[in-house]
Amino acid sequence: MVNFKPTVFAEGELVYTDGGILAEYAWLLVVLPFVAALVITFTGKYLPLKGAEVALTTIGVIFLYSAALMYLHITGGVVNEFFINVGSIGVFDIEFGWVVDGLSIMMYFVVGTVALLVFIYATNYMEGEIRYTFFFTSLTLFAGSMLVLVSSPTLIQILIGWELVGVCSYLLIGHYWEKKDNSSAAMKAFITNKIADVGLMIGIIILALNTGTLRISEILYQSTHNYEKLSTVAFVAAILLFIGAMGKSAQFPLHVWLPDAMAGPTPVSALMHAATMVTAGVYLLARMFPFYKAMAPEALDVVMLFGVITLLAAGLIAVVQDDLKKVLAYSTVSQLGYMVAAIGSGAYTAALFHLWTHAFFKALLFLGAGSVIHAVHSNSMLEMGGLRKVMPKTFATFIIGTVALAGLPPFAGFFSKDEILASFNHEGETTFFFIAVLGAFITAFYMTRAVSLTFLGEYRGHGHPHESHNLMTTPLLTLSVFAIASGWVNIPGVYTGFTDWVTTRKNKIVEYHPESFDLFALSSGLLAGLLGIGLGYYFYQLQGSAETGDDKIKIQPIWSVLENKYYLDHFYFKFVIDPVKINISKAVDKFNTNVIDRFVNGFGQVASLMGGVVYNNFDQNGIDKLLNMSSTGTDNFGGKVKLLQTGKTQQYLMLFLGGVVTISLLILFII
Amino acid sequence: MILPRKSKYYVAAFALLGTLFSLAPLVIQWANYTSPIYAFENSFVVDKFSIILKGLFILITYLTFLLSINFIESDKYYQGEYYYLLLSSLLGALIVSSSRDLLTIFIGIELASTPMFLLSGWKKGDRKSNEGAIKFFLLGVLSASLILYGFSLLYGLSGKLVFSEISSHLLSASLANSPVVLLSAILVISGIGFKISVVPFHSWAPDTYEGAPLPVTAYLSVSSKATGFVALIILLTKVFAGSGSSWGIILVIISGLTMTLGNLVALQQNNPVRLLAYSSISQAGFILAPIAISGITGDYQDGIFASVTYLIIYAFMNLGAFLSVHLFSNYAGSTNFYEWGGVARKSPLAGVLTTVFFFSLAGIPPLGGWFAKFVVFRSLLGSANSIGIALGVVGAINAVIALVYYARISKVIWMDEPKSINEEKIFQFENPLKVVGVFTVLITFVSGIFPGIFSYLGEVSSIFFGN
Repeated sequence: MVNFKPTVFAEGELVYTDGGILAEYAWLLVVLPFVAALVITFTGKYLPLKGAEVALTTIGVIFLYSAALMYLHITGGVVNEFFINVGSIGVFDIEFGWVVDGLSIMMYFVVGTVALLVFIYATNYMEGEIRYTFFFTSLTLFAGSMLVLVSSPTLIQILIGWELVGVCSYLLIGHYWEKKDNSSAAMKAFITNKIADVGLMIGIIILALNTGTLRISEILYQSTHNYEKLSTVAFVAAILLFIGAMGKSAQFPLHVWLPDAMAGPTPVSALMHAATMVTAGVYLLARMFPFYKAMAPEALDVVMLFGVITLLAAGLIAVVQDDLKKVLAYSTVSQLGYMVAAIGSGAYTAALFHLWTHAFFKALLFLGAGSVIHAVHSNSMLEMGGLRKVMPKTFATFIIGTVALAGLPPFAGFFSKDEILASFNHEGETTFFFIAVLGAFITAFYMTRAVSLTFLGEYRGHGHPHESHNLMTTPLLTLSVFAIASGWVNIPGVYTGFTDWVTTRKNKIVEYHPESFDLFALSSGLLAGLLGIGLGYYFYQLQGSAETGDDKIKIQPIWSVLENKYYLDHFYFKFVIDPVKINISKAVDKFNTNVIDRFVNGFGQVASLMGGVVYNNFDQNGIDKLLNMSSTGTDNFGGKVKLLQTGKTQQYLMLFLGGVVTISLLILFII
Repeated sequence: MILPRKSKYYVAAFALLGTLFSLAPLVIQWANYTSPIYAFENSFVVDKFSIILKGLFILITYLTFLLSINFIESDKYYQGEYYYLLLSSLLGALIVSSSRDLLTIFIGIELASTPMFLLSGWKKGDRKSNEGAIKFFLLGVLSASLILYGFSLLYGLSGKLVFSEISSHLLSASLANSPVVLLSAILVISGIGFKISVVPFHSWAPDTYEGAPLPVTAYLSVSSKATGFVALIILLTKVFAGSGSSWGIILVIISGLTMTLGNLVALQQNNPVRLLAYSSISQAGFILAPIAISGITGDYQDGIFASVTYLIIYAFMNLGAFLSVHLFSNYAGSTNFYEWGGVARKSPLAGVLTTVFFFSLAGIPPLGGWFAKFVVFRSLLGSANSIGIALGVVGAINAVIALVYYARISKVIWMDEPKSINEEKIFQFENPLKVVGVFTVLITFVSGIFPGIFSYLGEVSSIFFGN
């Protein structure tokens, strides 16, 4: 049943290699984590490091493998895909497999690097915590699920990876499940994602039905060659896929789960926000980009709109958060808004470039926050302050991450954000351009606020915090190298290697990519960033807020709107969740138990007479038969049957007959 | 039944071996299969469709026996009769899957359900068991009489008993959409609707499931339901094929109502057995959906493929779910699953199995349930029919709602605070039950990861229509 079908492509001017043996064995990337998870489950408790060594080795191998692929790709340009047929369901085949091209190799590398550093960090961070072994099992599975997703050459495998990531995140977010909040947060993440997943599933089915295949490359081929049948459903399918992406990549209004997901241990947050899970939506949009571009350009406008709303709305909420991790969480949502908006504007490379740099500096910021939280035993910035003196390494690396996120040169975020701004400017989206610049200002502002409240001023918390263990600071230092240098792979006019990497794929990408710096966009972005940092420093440092942990700029009622996250959670509870869970569900339950009465009322005397007759006849027979068959307990039994006569059986019979009559009436009306 | 009480376990062993051996002729039939074989004047057929379903019924019964061994031995119930009745019901299911005339299928249906009336009241001393059994029995008799009435109309119109002759008569006399035939279809749908417990014929199910011994409940929710579905599929596509557009609409409405009502009521349940009862009502809505749409589009082959695939996957994961509930309610001694906080820690194996089954029921990949849902959605959306797409949307909303209560149980057993955990008390997980758990879990995984094993069903359902 298993058939391996290697395919080699040569398109355009470049002749790509098939990647040779490295590409052929790239399935190891996907399979290894699952094998490791099994090994950890069964042997973890007996190993000296409680299973962490297995997880580390596995993820180390994955990192090395992805680095080797990356090297191969930079030197040769690999495009190849492999399929395993696991059966067909009528119209189309169900295939799994793996794809090795620029886009997937970039993702392998991001996942491999960030996961390796997070795993090293976690061995120390989670030391002595409950379920240590189980944590590493889930974390390995989490990385593995993401690899299933990004390695996928078929939509069906994407769907599977998609949901697997969701399940793993459920386990990890709820890791400290003894606290009820955490398990609720896990449920919230799981169910919000499920809503999006169903959208994705329907979108995939529509695409497959109209193209006759689940292979992404074939669907994209048909998209770019004007297949009639596909074009009629393209818009609907594109929107449904985007709904899927909105769930995982936390786009407004499905972003509500991500900030609550902070309940998980910090290494999980770092992995989730940087490399796995939230990037899945952006990855899906990027993977399907030729389809969007060729078949559903109107859907791209929708994508852009939601991206822009998200980047602004989430950025504003980040300003009012007192929980350090929540600031970073809303910042992630906002940055994902940038990526999604970039894809929507048609800037494929810019979106992926931002994904790439963001993965490193956001992992750095989260791990830094973890280091702080580990030291002060609190998430609240009100109980921090002055930590620069006692945690110099964490402070230095956190500053690097902050500057990278705020977008100052020569740090990574500057280049990627600039490319997004440049493509907005190029597309003539003036409004969106200015919103994005405003977003850059807000980003710089809330990050400065967070740094001020956490590291500057005097310590306001309890105990005596001290610098974290080397196992935690080493990943921080490594990541800060990436946070500085990862932007240098795509400098317009100097070196644009990144563009070549991610556009090396089977289906050609037609997109805007700036050849040189767009000076207007560059200066606007830079100015916004500097202004944000300056104002933040003014309010929180010069005005002395960092001393007291007090916010001097609380402007009502905007502040409380933001603190309540635009009342979106209230809205969902009041108008969606509670009505279904309490009102509708209870009503249906009541209806279900009382419906009989309504039937009786509705059908009146005649029906009740009829039911009575039926009941009496069958009742007598029924009792007789049962009495004959059971020789013991007759007295008992009779008593119970008597009780039953006042019970509901008669009404059930009525319901039954009522159903028959209703259906008959229904059919009379229809015909 | 004639053995002395002490050697009653021979009965169990004999029943188990006998069931297993009865798979042998099926394998031989499958291996030597060339074309459908008809017997008894075209009223009985052996084709691949029936062989697959027979295999399913026999396997389910075998697993039910394994579930029952300890349950039945632990009490002073009648072992001999228990196995005898279950085997009779199995015989009925086997007859149904091969039947091609009115009498045979009626006998099959009744043979499959009559023993269940007795089995559901097996716990004689228990009031709930008696109540459930009586309700089940009374409604069951009514449903039988409705089916019979429907059949008598058909017979009166055509004077024939064999399906192929009836349907060709209806077609040649252009009676397929006459009120009488439609009334007959409605009566048959209502009667069988009781067996598969779809709205509004579902009200017996939660009461009866709650009262019956757990292995019997599992059997009721899986095998009895499957028998009903098989009978419905055969009757609708072999006899009423010409009037599909009328019964199609009815079934679409029933299907949508069934998934929604089952799900919404399940949200309110705290008794795991009642929860599974309503969940299996909701699942029945999903199984019904493709047949319903195929009535409207006329693409019966596709509908049968999707429904039967769902049915087979559902059978194993639901059996597994009942096993989990059996284990935990035995241990916790409580029928309110909110009191099961943290019990999975007593037996991680049982906890993992439970999570797998409930996640599979919720349709999470790579477990079998997702493929079942995928096939159903594909069938609904592929119908290129606005009603089909509307039903697909209803199904999609329900798929999300269902996750809430399926995930809730796994959350409670793993994450909630342990209240009813008693360090002294041993978690009972007997070996036969382990076999059931591992077997069903394997099928649940394999059907999700290698759905190819279902692809030949497409070919099989085409054979079903080739004759």
